Amino acid sequence: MFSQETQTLMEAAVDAIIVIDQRGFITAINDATRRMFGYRPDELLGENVSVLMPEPDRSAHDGYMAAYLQTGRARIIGIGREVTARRRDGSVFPTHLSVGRISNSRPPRFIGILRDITAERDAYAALKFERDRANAYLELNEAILLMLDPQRRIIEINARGSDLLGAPSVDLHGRDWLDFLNGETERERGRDMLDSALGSRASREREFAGRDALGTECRIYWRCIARHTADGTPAGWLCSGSDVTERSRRDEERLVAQDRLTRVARMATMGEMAAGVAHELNQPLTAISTYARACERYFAQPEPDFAEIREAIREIGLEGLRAGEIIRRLRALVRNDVVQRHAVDVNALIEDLKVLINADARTHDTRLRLTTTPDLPAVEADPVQIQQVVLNLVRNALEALQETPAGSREIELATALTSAGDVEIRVTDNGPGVAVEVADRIFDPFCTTKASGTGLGLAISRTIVESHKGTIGTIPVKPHGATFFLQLPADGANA
Amino acid sequence: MKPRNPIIMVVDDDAGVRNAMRSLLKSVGLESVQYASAQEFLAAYQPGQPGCLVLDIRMPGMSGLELQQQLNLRGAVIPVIFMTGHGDIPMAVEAMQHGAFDFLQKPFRDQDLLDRIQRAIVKDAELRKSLGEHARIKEHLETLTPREREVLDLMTQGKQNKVIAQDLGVSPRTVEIHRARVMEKMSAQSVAELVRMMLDLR
Repeated sequence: MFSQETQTLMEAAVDAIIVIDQRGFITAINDATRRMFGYRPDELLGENVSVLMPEPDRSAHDGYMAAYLQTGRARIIGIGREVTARRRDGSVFPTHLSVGRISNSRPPRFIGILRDITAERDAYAALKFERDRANAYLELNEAILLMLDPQRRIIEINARGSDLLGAPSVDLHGRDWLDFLNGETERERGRDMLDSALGSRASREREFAGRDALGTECRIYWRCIARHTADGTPAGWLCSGSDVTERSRRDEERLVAQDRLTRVARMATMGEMAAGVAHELNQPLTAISTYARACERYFAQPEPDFAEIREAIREIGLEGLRAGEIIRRLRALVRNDVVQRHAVDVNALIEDLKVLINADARTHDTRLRLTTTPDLPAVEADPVQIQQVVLNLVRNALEALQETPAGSREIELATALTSAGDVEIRVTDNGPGVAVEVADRIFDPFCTTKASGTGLGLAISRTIVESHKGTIGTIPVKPHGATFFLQLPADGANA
Repeated sequence: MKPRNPIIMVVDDDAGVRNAMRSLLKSVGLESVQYASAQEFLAAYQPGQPGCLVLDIRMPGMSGLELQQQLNLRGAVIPVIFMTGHGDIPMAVEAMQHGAFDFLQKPFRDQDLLDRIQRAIVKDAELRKSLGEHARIKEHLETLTPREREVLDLMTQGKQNKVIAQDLGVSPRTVEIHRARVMEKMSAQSVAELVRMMLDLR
């Protein structure tokens, strides 16, 4: 029926080749067909080709052919499509079918070629699955994920990224990543980060002040890693960004709250010290009014003692300045400024406190000894906050001494340089000492041994000292008493 | 022995207040000495020096109150005027209970201080005078023999010579002699004066 060449061609083919007549009966078939469909060599010839199809094609195939023969309108001939095929055992598999009409055949005969595309389908499905999964990761991710070309232009971005950076209406593709950083300084840092990532296999990360395509400000924590082609040419970057606007706002709020608490505590301390301060102001005021009245009396004398008068007036001036100085130091402690750190001489800082703590010590009938070590290195600190800690420690010591007889209450306030090179401030009292059961939580909030205490003094002190990268602690003193110390790194020690 | 002039002793740890007080006291012709601490004052303290003490109630080291207690323990008679600050009223009350002469709140009116100092000086002089009297009476008492002392006690009880003679089992004549000796040794002009002396001693 076929030429030798045609026969050889059919048998060499991997695809199934089937020839049918106008009624759909198989008139020729190659071995590949039988192998593909699970039939024996003597089977299939003369059968209706519909046995190779599952329902509904199986029942409908005769109809398809009749329709074609009647209308001449091809649904599959010359087009080719994927169809489902049915093996002898009833199982089905995907195939690609192309059908041709054998030219000049009358009555017409058709030739069909079927290729088993199970493996292709599987591979495609697997690929699609992977792609979907990758997309799901991209799209579900809370982070902004984007890919930049070597010119930093966005070539891919996930939905979250579009949401955060662009608003859906703005197309971000092709935009320079630096456009989403706020200000030249930030863009400079952004450039640095990308450059730095380029020179390394590792990722780089930094928090940036950012802005979206509409100009709204945000804070984004960006991580990036450079991509390279197989031959090592830079191919851009993969970046992920987390929106930390909320968090950094909360951090800021926490800092503000902490600062406020610190200030309130300082005010409370000043309030508690009011008696001592009032007493301290009373001294120069008493001296001034007494000198003034003395002057009046000298002037009323027949031969006024002008030397005495001159001396009194000079003293009045000095005492006035002294009163002003007390107020100046007090004001410095209650000022409402923002935290200001600069290089500070701890001895000078304590010298400034002397008037206040002496007044307080006097009110508590306590002897205060000041032992400063000269020529200490400066520390980077907010002086008011450090003074607050010192005041707090001194006041705690004063209170610890309340059960000690008035004549033997002693506090030493000392400065020193530790062997590690830190600047240390120590407050030592000869009171009963810190009870063992509270010693390890004495710096915790709300830990108090005093009836009137809030339990916040030492906790706030610790917060202040730690924010200065320092340490605060306590050690017992023999035979009784306690030392509280704070150590601050010398300025430049970390550089 | 010539009576010494009163001196105002000022104890205040504040140099400004101390010097101002010196100037004020000098302006009214009062002599004063200033001390920076209770200890400094105690070291220099002469019980025989008349005057008064003006004392800051709060001082580091020994406080004004503690100094007052020290002086009381020593039996000192010097009047103490305390200077207090605001809110020191409880301490001032305590000081008054321990025999302080008066107290003044800083800053004070100069006239208030000077008035108090004047009154304190007068009080000091009276005390010293009456203490001087006591000392004299005691001295005289110590010169009496036991028998003369017995006669003195019975005399001040208002007993007649006859009764005293009976009580002691001696003759009225002997009582007469003892009686004359007692009057002489005590340098009393009358029995009434003798009674007042003995009442003063109580």
